[in-house]
Amino acid sequence: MIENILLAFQAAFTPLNILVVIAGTALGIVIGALPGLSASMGVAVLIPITYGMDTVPGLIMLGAVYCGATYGGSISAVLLNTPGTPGSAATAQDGHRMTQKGLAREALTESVVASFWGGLASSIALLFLAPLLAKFSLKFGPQEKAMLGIFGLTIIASLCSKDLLKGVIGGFLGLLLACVGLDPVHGDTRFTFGTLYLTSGVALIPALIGLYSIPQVINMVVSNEKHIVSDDMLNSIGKNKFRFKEIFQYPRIYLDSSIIGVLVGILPGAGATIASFLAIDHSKKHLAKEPEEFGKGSREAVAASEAGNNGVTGGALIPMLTLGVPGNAVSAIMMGGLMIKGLYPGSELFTKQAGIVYPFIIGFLLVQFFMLIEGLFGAKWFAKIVKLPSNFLAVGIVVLTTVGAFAMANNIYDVICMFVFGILGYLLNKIGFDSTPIVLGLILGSIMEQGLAQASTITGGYGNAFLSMLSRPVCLALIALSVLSLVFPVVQNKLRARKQKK
Amino acid sequence: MNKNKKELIGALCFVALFGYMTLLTSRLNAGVKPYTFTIVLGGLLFSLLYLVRSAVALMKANKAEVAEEKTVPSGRLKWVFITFGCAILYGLAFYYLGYIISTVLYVTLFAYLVDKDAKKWVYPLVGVVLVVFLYFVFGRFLNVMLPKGILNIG
Repeated sequence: MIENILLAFQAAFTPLNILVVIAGTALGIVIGALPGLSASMGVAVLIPITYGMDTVPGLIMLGAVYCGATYGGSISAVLLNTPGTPGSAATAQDGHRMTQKGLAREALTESVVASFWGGLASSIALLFLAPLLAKFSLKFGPQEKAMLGIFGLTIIASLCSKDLLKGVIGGFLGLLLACVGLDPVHGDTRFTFGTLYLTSGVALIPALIGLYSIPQVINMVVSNEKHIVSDDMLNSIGKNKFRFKEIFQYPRIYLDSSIIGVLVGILPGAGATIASFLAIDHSKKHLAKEPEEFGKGSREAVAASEAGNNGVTGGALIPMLTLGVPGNAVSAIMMGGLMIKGLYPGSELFTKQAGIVYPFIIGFLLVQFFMLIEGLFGAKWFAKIVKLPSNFLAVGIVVLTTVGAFAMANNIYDVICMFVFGILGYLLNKIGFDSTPIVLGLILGSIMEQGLAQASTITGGYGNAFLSMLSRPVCLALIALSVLSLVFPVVQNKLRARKQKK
Repeated sequence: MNKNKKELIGALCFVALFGYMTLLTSRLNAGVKPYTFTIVLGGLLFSLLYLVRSAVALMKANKAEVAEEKTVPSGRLKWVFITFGCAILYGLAFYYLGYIISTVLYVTLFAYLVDKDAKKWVYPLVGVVLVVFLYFVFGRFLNVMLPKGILNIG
């Protein structure tokens, strides 16, 4: 492993990769800073661009956008009280109050410093924990792979705990869409309606782009909102200069919050929002010098929130890269990006494809340093981005998504597919459906079906395949984890509702 | 339209979709059937549950005369159709007219239609900047054959 890491440093530190890190991080910060645009959308739109690039810089680009967007969300949270990404909702609470007190620069500095520590901890965890977990996945046969697919789908319960039924239907819709095309064992065609285009299945990337970007464009135009950052706010950012000691201002808060973020990230479905609220709660109770200031514009709260939600970034990639279980929506999309490059999660990724995955992780580590530099010295410029008129932003996204969908295979049908999924996503969002369960079903469906088909061939039928799972320890552990993953969010939601009633 | 009615229509669409897919699955070969059946029947079962829940919610709302909850701001519904219609037209023009003409036209016209606040020359300028970006990033850097269209420009 150490040898792979040393070689990866050599492979990651190329002029092209560094350029990709700088550009990807800046782009991610811009995407995150713009309210309404999410890291998921940014990564989905960028997949076609990275598809044409070499694998390592392509993956580094996706990682850079992911980390940049996670931090970027705090800029609009601090300045506008509008979280650019869901994960920065907790930052808005204290960050914006700091802005109102005339401490916008301090809030933005703290958010980038804490994001850096959170991201750094998550990159280190990714570098050292992922290979260990990948080794463990060597023990997995078809039954375990099928069960992993099922376990991956159970994160729908956490993502859609407010309305589990809609999440489950979305998941089944995704699984149904994954059935379209040739079946993996017999080669029979399913649900193609006589079209040649559907024989190879639903085009994953155009579908992802459509589901995540088109509804946001329509919402942007329909809401007709113009976000205004006053010039006073922007001027206050540049008033005082940054001091180096600010990077180490709250070491315990950075450390504890980052660890919370990493652990929450590894748990499929938990997400950055939960991590930041948990980190704030922990810091307030155990670490803060002025806990009474929390919620009133506390710098310590901003530090905890941002270290927590950026700690999730690398953590969420650990189960995705090693087991094929995406920890959140962005890692599900990144998994799609890996799969179209012919890379499949698991132990082989860390052995046969070590020349790709380790440089990617080192690139991910590098992103954190550039995020710190860009965030510290460019915060004022990134803040100006939130003044960008929404009409230009909307047309820009439509143009990029159209070209992106077309570029995958130089095929106009992919563009049509993207629009079909776009309108489907919009209509479903309007009746309270989230796109992520559909994406999870679409991605995990084929993995689950392949595992089940292989297991049924070995054991002589689907019934036997399921029975054989009960005699395999890893399968049993995964069944237990799946049940926990399904039940825990529902129970947690009910307890919360009961508490609120009281 | 009332949110509950929308949910009911949505539930009906899901039931129809999974029901139709169940019918199609029955015509598949025996080897493919078990897994596909599990998926479509599962989807159908939960869609039926959703249908019942939506119907009950609608009846309760009718009795209580709950105020209508709007999912689209009033007067802005037409923008859903305009935005989507223009995007599809752009997608088709992109292929048949080529990326240069279609992008400049789409950016200029649609951005102006949505918001007329900027100076008029800004709209085509943004279109041209986007075309240059597409040319260098996709055409040159990523070697994507961008469509030249019937006029063969690009």
